[in-house]
Amino acid sequence: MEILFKRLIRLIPVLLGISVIVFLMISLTPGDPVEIMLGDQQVTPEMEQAMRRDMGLDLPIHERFVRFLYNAAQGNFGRSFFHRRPVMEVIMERLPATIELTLCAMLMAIVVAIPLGVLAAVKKGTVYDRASVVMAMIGISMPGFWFGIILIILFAIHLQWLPVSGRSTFALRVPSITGMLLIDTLLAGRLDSFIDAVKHLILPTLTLGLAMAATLMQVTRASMMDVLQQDYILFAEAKGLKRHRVIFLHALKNALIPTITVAAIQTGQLLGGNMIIETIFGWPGVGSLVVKAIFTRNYPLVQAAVLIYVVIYVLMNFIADILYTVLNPRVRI
Amino acid sequence: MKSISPLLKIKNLRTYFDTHAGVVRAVDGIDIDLYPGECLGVVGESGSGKSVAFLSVMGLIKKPGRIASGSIRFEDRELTALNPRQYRDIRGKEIAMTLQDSLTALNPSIKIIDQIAEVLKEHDRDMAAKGPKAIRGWALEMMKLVGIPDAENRLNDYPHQFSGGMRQRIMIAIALSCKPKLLIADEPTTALDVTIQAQVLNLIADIKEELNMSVIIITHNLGVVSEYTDRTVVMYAGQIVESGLTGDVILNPLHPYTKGLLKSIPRLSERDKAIHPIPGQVSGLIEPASQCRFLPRCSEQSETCRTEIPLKTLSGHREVRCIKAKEETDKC
Repeated sequence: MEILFKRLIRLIPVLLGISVIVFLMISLTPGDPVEIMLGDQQVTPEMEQAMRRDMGLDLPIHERFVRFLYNAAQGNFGRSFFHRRPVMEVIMERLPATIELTLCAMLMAIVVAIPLGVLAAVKKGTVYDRASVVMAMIGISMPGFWFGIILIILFAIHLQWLPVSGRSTFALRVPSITGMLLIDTLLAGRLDSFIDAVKHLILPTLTLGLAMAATLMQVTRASMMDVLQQDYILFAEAKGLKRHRVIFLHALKNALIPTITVAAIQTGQLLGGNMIIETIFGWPGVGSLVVKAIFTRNYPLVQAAVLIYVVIYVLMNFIADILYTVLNPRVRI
Repeated sequence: MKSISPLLKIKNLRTYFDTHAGVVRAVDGIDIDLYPGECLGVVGESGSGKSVAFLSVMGLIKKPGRIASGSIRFEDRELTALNPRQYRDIRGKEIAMTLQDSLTALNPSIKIIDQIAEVLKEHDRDMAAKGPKAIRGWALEMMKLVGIPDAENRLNDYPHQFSGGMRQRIMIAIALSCKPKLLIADEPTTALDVTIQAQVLNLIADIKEELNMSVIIITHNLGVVSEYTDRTVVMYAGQIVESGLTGDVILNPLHPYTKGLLKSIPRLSERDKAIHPIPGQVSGLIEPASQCRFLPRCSEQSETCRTEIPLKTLSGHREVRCIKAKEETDKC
């Protein structure tokens, strides 16, 4: 427990460092938000000046940073230039959609990758094993935006099995409780809405989870192969245990240690990946919000969103650390 | 002795490994008879094929290895003809095996109690029907039997929390939990200190008497063999080079390899502290030349050794694969 606390403390400097980088990166990017917002509108220099002051952009950069940190520590990231509402409010509205998509992609990846990886390791050297390695290579190297568009063309446009974009059909909306549609629709007892939400989820989930599934499969396969060579597997067989017990208990329990760790880290990475995927699928999450905010130089929103990403990413790494300890009795404290 | 039928009868067993370099003849035609209640020592250096031979008996040879020919009879069953299911019913129940390194042979992430209990669940239907409490009780009995101190409080420990000697005992407990008729102990003492070695071997000897089982001890340590076994088989390069009653083999070795093994044991009593190793190492097992396989390392070689040497049966249950040895016994 104490170790857990110590590890949490260690996250603070990481987050502080990240906030400096985020702040600088955004502030130093060329492009003036005021000009972009005003667009072609004709305004007097006084009005422009007032707008600048209103958004705190007239202060020198170091003062802006101190203010940013001070406010951020209180969960206040300022107001979105574009939405004219507190940034956190805007992000929190959209966060559940992103989390829902990320979790689905992660679950899909785990559910698909681990059995395939185990099978490849058990059938080492066979046609199946070689095919799975090739498939994994393709999965890892295929760009997500391209794969997403292919899926849309095939399943949404040609076959018309699944919707092109969005999260739900307007007519089937249900009141938001958790913000996760899969849960909200069930809470509302609306099976039709639930199925609608699932249909909307399928393509983005596949696109987002593909690379993770491929990576996880490789990791599972490699660690499973290593474990199957171990003496304890030979000994388990010498005990006369059934094959499935040897593979799924004796081998998999040990092979999962690296796999789960990688899965947790990858889940953090999915958050970054979903900016593009959300934009392609018109998914109303934080990812597509951030992309829009970058184009409009909406500093407060980008800063807050990136910081939230970092926090989640760091937390996932932290969870990976903890899981590793829980799964591996040899490092248990 | 001959009137009783053997518990295990290995006939002309050949276990080969298909590699890119060619077929490795790890076990190249061995015959071993083991009688009920007997303790057999199998001696040889690394690469002599002793472990592979008994992994073949366990049916645990994996690709690229294969049993190329030969027969392994256990009681009235031909093991090489069994399907995987039938084999599983014998493994761990009637023939049990322990491995050399107890740290790597026990699963690092499964509690000791579960590693013992799963054998019972697998093989003992009556026990399994009595429920987890009975199985736990029996597992505890086994741990006490092999002398794990404070066993009650250690059931939920993991292998790395035990010392090497204790882990070896646990492995023996697992192997013995279904009261097998045959225990194959592969290098049971190699990873242990000398004092612990004796404890573990005494434990095996005691339990062997108690359960009246047969034991095969695979080792490269002739000291272990001389003290604990009834009969000894010496293997070299996949073949048996000498066998006989342990006392005869140790006191009157006939094959130059056995003599070399005995000479290479360091002795405290001798003033001359030098150890006399056998020079060289086991030569290639791929396409062995048709000559005595020990020839390149033999100090007593002559031109007559350059033919395939058969295993000669001598009086007093002795066998030896050396032309010279025959001459010597003829003189006696």
